[in-house]
Amino acid sequence: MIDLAWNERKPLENLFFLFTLAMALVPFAIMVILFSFLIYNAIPSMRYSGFGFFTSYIWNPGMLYENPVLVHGVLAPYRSSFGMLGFFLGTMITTALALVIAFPVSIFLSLSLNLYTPQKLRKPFSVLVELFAGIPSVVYGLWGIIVLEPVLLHSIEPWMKANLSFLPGFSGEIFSGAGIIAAGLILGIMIIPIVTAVISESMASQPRELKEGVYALGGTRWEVGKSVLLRNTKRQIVGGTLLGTGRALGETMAVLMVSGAVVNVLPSGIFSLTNTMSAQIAAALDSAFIDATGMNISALVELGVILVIISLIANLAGRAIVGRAALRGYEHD
Amino acid sequence: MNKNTGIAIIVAIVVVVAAVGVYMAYGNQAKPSSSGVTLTETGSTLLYPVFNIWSGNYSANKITTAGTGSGAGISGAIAGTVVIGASDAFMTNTQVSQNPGILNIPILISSQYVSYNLPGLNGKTLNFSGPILAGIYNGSISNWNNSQIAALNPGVAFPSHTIVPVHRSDGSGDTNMFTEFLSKSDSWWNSNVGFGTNVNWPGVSAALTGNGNSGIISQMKSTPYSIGYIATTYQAQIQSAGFGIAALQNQAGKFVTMSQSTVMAAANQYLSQIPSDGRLAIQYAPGNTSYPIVDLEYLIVKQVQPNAATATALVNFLKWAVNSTSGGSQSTYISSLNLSPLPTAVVNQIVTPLINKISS
Amino acid sequence: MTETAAAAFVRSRGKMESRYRRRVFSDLVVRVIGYAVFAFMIGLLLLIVGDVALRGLAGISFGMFVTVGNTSSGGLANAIAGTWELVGTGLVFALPVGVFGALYLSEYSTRNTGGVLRLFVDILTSIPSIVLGLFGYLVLVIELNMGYSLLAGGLTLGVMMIPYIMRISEISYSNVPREMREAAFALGANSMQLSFSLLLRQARTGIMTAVLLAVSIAAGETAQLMYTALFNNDYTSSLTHQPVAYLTYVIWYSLNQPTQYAHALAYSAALILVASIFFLLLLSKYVERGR
Repeated sequence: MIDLAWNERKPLENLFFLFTLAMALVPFAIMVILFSFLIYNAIPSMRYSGFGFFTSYIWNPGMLYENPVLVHGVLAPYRSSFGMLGFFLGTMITTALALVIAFPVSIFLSLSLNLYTPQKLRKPFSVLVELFAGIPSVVYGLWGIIVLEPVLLHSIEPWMKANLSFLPGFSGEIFSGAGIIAAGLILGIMIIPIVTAVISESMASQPRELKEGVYALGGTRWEVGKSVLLRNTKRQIVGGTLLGTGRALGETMAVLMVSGAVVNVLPSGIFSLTNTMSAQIAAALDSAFIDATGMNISALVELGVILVIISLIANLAGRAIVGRAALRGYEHD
Repeated sequence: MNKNTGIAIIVAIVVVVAAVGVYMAYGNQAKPSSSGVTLTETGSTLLYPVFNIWSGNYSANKITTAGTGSGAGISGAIAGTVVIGASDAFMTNTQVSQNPGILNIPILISSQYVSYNLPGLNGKTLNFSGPILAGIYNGSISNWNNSQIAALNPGVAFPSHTIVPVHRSDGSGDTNMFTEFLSKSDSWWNSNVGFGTNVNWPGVSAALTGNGNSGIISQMKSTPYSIGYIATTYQAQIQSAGFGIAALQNQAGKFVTMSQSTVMAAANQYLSQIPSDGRLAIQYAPGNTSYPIVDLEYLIVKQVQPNAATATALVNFLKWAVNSTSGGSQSTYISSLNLSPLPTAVVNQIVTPLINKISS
Repeated sequence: MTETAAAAFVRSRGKMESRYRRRVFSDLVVRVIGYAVFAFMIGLLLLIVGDVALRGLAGISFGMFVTVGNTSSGGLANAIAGTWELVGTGLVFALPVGVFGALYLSEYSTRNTGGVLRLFVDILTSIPSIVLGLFGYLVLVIELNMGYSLLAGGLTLGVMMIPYIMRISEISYSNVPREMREAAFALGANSMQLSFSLLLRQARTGIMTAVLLAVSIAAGETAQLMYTALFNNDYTSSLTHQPVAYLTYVIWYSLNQPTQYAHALAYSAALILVASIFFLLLLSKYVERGR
């Protein structure tokens, strides 16, 4: 800590101090600009759609070649209407599915890394898991389209339909390999490294004495895992899962490529195609540029604002629980 | 290994990578860009392959191109982020009145297939009309054995199976062409859905979406009993996927297939009517031999360019691009993409005067 | 009725043995599941990377590294150069912000101001990439009139890189022992000398790790760049008003092109990108180990 007062420092030192302060303020400044720009651009859509934005699932860009209409004091394309419900549900369902996959896998991965892997191999193995986090989103999407979707369409989904139809939602026609299952699977694979990194590192930092105590009492490795590792890392498990959730909520490209990107349809079962808030922004931005009233862009920005709020809640809650020290930096979307 | 050596190695690698990057970016510019002006283009993915060919064959200036979508093309030209915005759709009236200094320059004629993956019938040319397609895409015609489809195709035994209509998920000029055809031929579609690069697709539970023309093709390939609209540029892919290609009912009630002559027959019905601002929809043309899904492709440019060099370079390029004898519209460049050049008369009466408006 | 001592012993021993067996068995079950999950993950990694490697190697050629391309023909040289140009531009922006901002957080800030500023770094991390891209388009491309360009794309990437560098740098500074600082002050160093000759030197491995990590993540981003850098079928030699090519665009866009060659380009780009990212990540692990 440098705790000299302003007048105790030389002018150059003070200049340097101001410089570091300015740099530390940059993230703050960016956030202020970002939020003011987003909210400013979302205002026309808020005025136009009102509360209906949250309750409708129809996303109608309107008839752009007709004359625009004046509604609630803002110009909008004729017959346009914007509702986020379909994309919101898609985001939530695919993220939930991703967690169902990533949560147990990450726990068992962390346990086997910390209990059963020889000391020498722990580091290389955990590096291997972290390499997953480095694979770009579009490469996951590429693999999803070329390799995963055909397998889902021809083998896995028909099998699920035949054998698991007693479960709710496991019915309906299978039209395509794209959809909820593909998106959830890819998202799940993408967040496993994040969740695993947090859980595994907090397990590794458990005091040796605790583990040795259990061993000294004749405990098996699993008993060490149960009574020390799992019991003492509950917070980090919850926090790591929340960080993974944050990443899954905002993921764009891979989901855009494998979700089917439908509009105006609510999911009717697990084989349905879907769409997410982030994927919709990426897919609809181009035709929104044609709208001279700017309402289509404004509606997409409003979608973005809501997405940011949801992902902020997950990320900040996860961070508050885990604590900063445990973070390695992979949790960014 | 010493820590410092490790860092030194890393720094060395970073420096080498940076140097290679800089060399590639700046040192390797052997390509002469004579007047020094680079014409940036973005927009329509349909025109993207054309611009790739043009940028390789036009030597007077360097042309950079990117396929993003017609919307980005139009907005890029208006905002001045690019010099040329390529678009399958002309600007809306609202856009024109907001941006009076922007030109819509017709440049080429394109067309579109309606294609189907119907096991057992892909070898046949099936007949479809606008109202039938509108019914399929709004869900009111949901089975292949529907009597209205059978009525257009006497003697064909249709299977009893759900129809899977496929449309684009991204904003697209292809969607604009297709929905404009539906709007002009079906009154329900016209008053309820309309046309545009992205429309309010009726929620049909069997409907699938694809991203880009390739996305449509791959969806249809993996989904038997599907139907979709695909730019004729993708003919080779449609054939290798083994889909059938439909004959479409034109305004005169005749069923026609896409060919150079049916496209030009349709275009010629309208070309004399192109207004001086260049904006005209030419789908669903009258005439016995007219193919109904035909469209004018546009380049959107600013009338007043930032400097004289850019203005001159742009004018020269546009005149080259629209020239069908020795320029960009000659058949060696565009016929493999199933595109047609604008007739010389149209170029002289409409396009050249528009291009000549460009100044600095 | 009373048990004999011997019978009680035998019974309790039997109980213990069956309990022991049960304990060993549950250990075995968890071990097997753990190994299975591990093997599954390794298999999946091999499957994804192997798919990219095999298809990429099948289509890749030396010419792709030296010729420019447009996602349907030509090579990848412009996309490779553009990717590193964009990441480099981002780094030029993010490095001083991260390194010196972290210095403020670790050395100067009070508990409260530090807490607030850190909160904003965390918020920055939570912004989805497509929203950053939308922001970059609205603010940098349009409002600040940079056009689709290296600067707009690079700065948008830089925004995303700041938290990585700032957070790891701060941890590295705070790991410098208090005694060393006191020794430096005792030798008459002022706060600036302390920062440059002690803290930055001591933290350089940490900063290097952070930079490699940030660069490897930034190189794989797409959504930020689609509407800020656009794409360019040639090299980019200007900071503003000239679009930039990058590898992730080729992967995303070539897949949508009609020809087999375009698909080969997509896979080659994916191979080059994944190989570079893995190299950088492993390098960051190696550097970190030296700490």
